[in-house]
Amino acid sequence: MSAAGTIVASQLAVGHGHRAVVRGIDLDVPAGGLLVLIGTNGSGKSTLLKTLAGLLAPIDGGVTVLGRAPGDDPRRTAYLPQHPVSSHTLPLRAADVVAMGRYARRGLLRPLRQDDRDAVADAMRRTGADATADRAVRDLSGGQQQRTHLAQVLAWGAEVLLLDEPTAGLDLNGRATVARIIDEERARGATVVLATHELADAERASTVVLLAQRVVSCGPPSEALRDEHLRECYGFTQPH
Amino acid sequence: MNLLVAPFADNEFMRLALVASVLVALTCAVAGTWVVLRGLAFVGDALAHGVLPGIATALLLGVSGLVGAAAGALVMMAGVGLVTRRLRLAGDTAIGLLFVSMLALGVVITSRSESFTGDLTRILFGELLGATRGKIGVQAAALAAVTATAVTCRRPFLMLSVDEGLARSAGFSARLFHALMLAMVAVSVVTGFQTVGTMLVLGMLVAPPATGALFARRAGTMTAIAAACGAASCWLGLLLSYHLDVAAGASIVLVSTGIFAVAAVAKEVARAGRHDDELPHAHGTVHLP
Amino acid sequence: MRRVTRTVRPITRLALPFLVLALVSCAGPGSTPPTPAEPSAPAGQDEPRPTIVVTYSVLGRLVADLVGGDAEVLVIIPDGSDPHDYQPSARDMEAMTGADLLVVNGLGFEAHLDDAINAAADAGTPVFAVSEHVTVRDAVGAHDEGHDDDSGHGDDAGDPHLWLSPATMLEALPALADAVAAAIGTGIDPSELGAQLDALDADIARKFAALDRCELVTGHDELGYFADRYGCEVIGAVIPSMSTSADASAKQLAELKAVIAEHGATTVFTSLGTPQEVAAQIARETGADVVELGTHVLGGSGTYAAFIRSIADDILDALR
Repeated sequence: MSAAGTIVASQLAVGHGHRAVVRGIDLDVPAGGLLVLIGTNGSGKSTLLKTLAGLLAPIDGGVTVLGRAPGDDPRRTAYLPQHPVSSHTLPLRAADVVAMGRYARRGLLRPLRQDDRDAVADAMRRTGADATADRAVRDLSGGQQQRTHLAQVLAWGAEVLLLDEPTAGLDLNGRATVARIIDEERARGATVVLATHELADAERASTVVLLAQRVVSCGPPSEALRDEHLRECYGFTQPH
Repeated sequence: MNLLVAPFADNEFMRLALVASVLVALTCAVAGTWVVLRGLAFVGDALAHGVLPGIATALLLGVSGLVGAAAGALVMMAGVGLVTRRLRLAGDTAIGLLFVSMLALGVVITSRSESFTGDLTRILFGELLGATRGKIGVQAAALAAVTATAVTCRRPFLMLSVDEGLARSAGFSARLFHALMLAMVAVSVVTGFQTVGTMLVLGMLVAPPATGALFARRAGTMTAIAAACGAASCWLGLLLSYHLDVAAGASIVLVSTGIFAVAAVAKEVARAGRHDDELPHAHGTVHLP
Repeated sequence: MRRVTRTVRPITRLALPFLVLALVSCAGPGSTPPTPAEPSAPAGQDEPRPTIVVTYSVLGRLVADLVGGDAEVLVIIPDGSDPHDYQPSARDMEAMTGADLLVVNGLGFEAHLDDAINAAADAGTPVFAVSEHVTVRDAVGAHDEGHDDDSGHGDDAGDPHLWLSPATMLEALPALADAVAAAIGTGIDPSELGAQLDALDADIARKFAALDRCELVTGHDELGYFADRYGCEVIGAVIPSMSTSADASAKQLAELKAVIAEHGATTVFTSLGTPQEVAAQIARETGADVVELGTHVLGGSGTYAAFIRSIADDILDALR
């Protein structure tokens, strides 16, 4: 196990309760790396992402994030859940939802400071969520909601970003924005983990894990996304 | 003017009822904000019925109904937690199961009793016009506790309202803060039943905060609107009861749901007026992942 | 199980939750079984005695006083339960359909038993409704003229609280004795009980005649027959309704306060089902005392006469 890796797993089994969804995951993602988890619905990518976020306990094997157990340092690991159902009824102001990204730093009661407000404004500008900052989340379109949630994760200022389908509901512009943001985050040294359906999202990855309730392939995109692996995973090949 | 103030000036029972019901309304405005934000109305409903066997047992044993209601609420919450975790059933299924069994248990206990059934009406609909200083003291303490909890736990509560995983990833224990949120709802139901009854306290828990949710974009504003609507409902409801000779507790809840209906229609009308100059996508195509 | 359907009740009583309760209660095994009206009656005698089932405990007591040991008298509504609210259990239904005679009060008093009573009648059980054999007084009290009676005894406008006047019971006694005799096949002589009630009536009338005036404030409108008979006037009630199930309204309470002040009434008489804290508050604001009357609870009274006597004495004590 490399001591340098930001995310390191060996023979990791993830799942809910005692029921494993995927076993035998080996990972070593360096700082500034992009790990893309790809697979169909129910393939285990969200389960793995939640395990890395510390929301699910590993069933077997070992895993560390930033050298510690997952979830041990909330300030340094930001998590973007799958588009929350609550968004459609949430009467909260978008800017306030983005500001939640600073709560891990400030804890229960410490007031937000100027640098927190700056981080929120900066994150909203980068995702384009600033255009709808004053409106309630429920009154936004799906894409605008997704940009708001994405801004929240950026506002975190974390070293590890765990993103569950960040491009869901986004148009081409939105996808380009997400790709740019991931590049920017990596450039400042952050490690990004991305769970997605989209093979296109995997092209810039340092490591791809192809999942189908087991590890189908794991490695750089050129290797992991070879046609025989994709056929094994989806039952057919997809042009990419 | 006399019509609006004189009934309270002339009658102590009206003043006590007003103070007691406004305290219930304020408590429910604070707790109800989170009921609406987090979508807990069904839990509130379950608690409102879950306390019934507790109250019934307490009255049979000659203990304060408040103690029984608290015990009933605890059993209800522990039961929901247990069923969802151990049996991996959806929360609403667990709540549905417990809610009917607690309700049935309450009825069975009251039907075994030999000196009790007359009080069932009072449990369900309260005894607002018989508010006492003691009850008002208990309600004020409940308001203080619920408000302190809501202020202290504002951040985890907000994150829970967006997504449970989000709250946990920020280092807040979802289980702890969810339990605290339920406890606020339980305290509102348990103390409010004495004044407006277990059925009507649910109305105070949902209607004013829902009115707040129509207009507010912040939890605090929502609570403020809910508190104002709730307090106005108490005053108007009591006046209705005074001038039109109708039941007091039910009038208050009817006024509060009426305010919601009027507010919702007003908002729709205002929105329709603005509609022309908005882009077609502004109201959102919904994308689910 | 037979699903009991109910008529819609007035809005002040918010029927829906009760409907839920009613259905749950009908399905549940928890209701109290019908209780013998004569606690001393030996259970499980060799020879099965005829059974007379009575809905209400006070009437059950009167029937037991009448038949003595000639029949077993069972009561459906447990003493102390509010008859206005009582829901029958499956066992109650069985007892009612299997009875040799079913004695009911009538006038909608046993609101939730009406369907069960009809079912028993359909099954061939002879039903004796006491209210059909007495002079029924109007349900509208002196104090609530001018607003409609929405008190819940729906179709029947009469005041159902018959048992609170021995003279009214005396009226029904011969017919009741005939019905009992026909049902159990033994002759019943009502003259002894009749004489007892007559003496009781005369005694109470004499005592009340000695009062300067008799003005009553009650829990709900229950003392009409009593007041009519003994020269009293019911001037107000905490819940001005024939049933305890109605809710208090602020207007009624304010009017009640005015009436109490105007008449200088010193006592609020409450009973089973009266909202105690509301009554206490009204008493506090008017300087009156609260006295609880057992008008709906037989309690330990040995006989019907003792039951009536204790109510009359409580009222007399408070007014003297």
